[in-house]
Amino acid sequence: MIRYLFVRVLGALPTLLAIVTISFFLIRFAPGGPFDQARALPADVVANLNAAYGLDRPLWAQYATYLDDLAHGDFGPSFRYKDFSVTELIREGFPVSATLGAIAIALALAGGVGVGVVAALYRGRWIDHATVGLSVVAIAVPSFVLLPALGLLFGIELHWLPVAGWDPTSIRDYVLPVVTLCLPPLAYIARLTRASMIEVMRSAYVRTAFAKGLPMRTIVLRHALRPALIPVASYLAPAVAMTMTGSLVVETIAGLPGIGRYLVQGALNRDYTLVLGMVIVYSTLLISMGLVVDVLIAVLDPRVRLQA
Amino acid sequence: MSREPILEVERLRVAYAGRGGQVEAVRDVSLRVDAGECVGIVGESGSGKTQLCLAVLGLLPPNARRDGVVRFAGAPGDAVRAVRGERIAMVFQDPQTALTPHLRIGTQMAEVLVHHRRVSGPAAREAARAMLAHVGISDPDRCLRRYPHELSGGMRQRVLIATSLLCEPQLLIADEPTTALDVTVQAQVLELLARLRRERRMAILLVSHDLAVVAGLAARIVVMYAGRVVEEAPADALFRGPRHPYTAALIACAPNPDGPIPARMATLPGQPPGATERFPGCPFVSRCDRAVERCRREDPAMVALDDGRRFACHAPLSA
Repeated sequence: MIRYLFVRVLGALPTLLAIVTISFFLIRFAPGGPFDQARALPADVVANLNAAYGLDRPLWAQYATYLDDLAHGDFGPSFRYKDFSVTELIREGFPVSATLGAIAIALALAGGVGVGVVAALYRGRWIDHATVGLSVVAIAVPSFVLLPALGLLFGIELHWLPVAGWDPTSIRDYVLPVVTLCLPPLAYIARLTRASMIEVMRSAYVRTAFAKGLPMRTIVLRHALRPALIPVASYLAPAVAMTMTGSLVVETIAGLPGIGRYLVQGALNRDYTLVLGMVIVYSTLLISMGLVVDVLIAVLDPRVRLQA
Repeated sequence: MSREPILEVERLRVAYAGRGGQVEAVRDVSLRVDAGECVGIVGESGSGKTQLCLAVLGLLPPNARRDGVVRFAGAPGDAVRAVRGERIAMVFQDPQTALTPHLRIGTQMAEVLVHHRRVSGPAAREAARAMLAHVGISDPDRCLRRYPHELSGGMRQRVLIATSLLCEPQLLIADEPTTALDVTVQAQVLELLARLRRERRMAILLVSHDLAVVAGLAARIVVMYAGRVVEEAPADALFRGPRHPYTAALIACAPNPDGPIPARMATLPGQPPGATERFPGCPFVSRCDRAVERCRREDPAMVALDDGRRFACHAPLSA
């Protein structure tokens, strides 16, 4: 097990390096640059800026410098957020996005599995149809519609919750963004759980469990639930990485100081270092969640062996 | 041998609502199993054997429609559900998939006793250990700690049989218990069933597509075709003089180890009618070499003889 984890973590480093390399050259080859504005700057100003950020050096030399800084834990200075390093930006914003994301995913997992199991057990009844129908709505409605609608209802009409704003100590500030973030994965997990639970309930070993005369509760919780969760576990890796790196829409609308906006803004502004920093955060999360999920699946199904 | 019935099935029908109309899996099946008796059910795939077993135990899927009466030891209809796993147990066809993959054997066995007998976990495990030894597993302690995928097919079937016996059932329904096993393991499992029946005076309803499997164990054999019973007789009488042409064809298809090796194995050409097909006559008519005009028009009724035999045929073979 220890050996397995060690080999997997070691194996992730070349993957990360490949991602960083590809992203580095991709964003550099995109037309435009960080200092382009509607009105072109004087040529000497641009030259000074380029020299200050090292953009006048050959691309491979910049790449080498970037990797060297990275190896020392330095993501470099942001091109747009003057006086901030990318490390600072991410260090401040990531906890906000990660906290909201983690809460949202935890709720989505608990709620989605519960709803999915109930729908599967009452297959074809109204509660099942309601689940399937509502889950399509929850997946399809975009967050830029859902969050303002929730804000309108619970904030402006009912005065129960704040529409926007951020005070880390106030749970009330969390509610609307967390609900908005958690609904789509909740619906998706409910659908996954429902489908695999229906499949498992038809399996030969569940029939055996029924033939043994066991009560429904035991059959569902002990015999059926664990194998039914395997597809959910596989979905979890991208879902966690996605949700914990924040959402541009949700964080912008709710006025949250997370990192959700950095990737899109960074790319649009050609803020080279910020984009790369976000790519690294996202892919690190994705790769480590992939590892967690593989271990989780081995726990759910003893036939799976972790072999490095 | 006592003649008190342990299981009585009367005019049992199982139907599914399908796209092409009703699919009738079991049509008007009646049968009876006495205490301590072994009754065999034989028929090719699709003849409704498994559906019959599931219907008896109340394990049909929710979209199935069941009519008729199932009485267990005199108790009416749905009482079967209450004694399921305790006084009636079932062993399924495929031991590869019939055990829960993520639970240890010990857990899967002990839970039966914990639920039905309200015994403690350790006591249940001890009983499971003893039962595994009883069905011929050489290292039961090790086996209890194993996961299903770590056992061979024969061991898994023994585990399933041992599990079904934990509450000392009065009736064991064994649906193709040896079909998924090697021939040598098959013989061992059949021998085990025969021994358990003798020692525990447990009735067995043994279902198979293979006459040879049923022949060694069952005192009475019920032959099913296209969802209905076409013939029933004491085992030796059935082999000596089958009355229904389908039974005769089944016996003719079984290889004879003492006779000369035929150039071609005898087979029964054609296929049984589809479960949605509607026809007025005998379901076997298209494959029957004795069919007369009447067989196409009229479904033959069951004829019961006084020696406990019965068959449904307009043109039976002579006794």
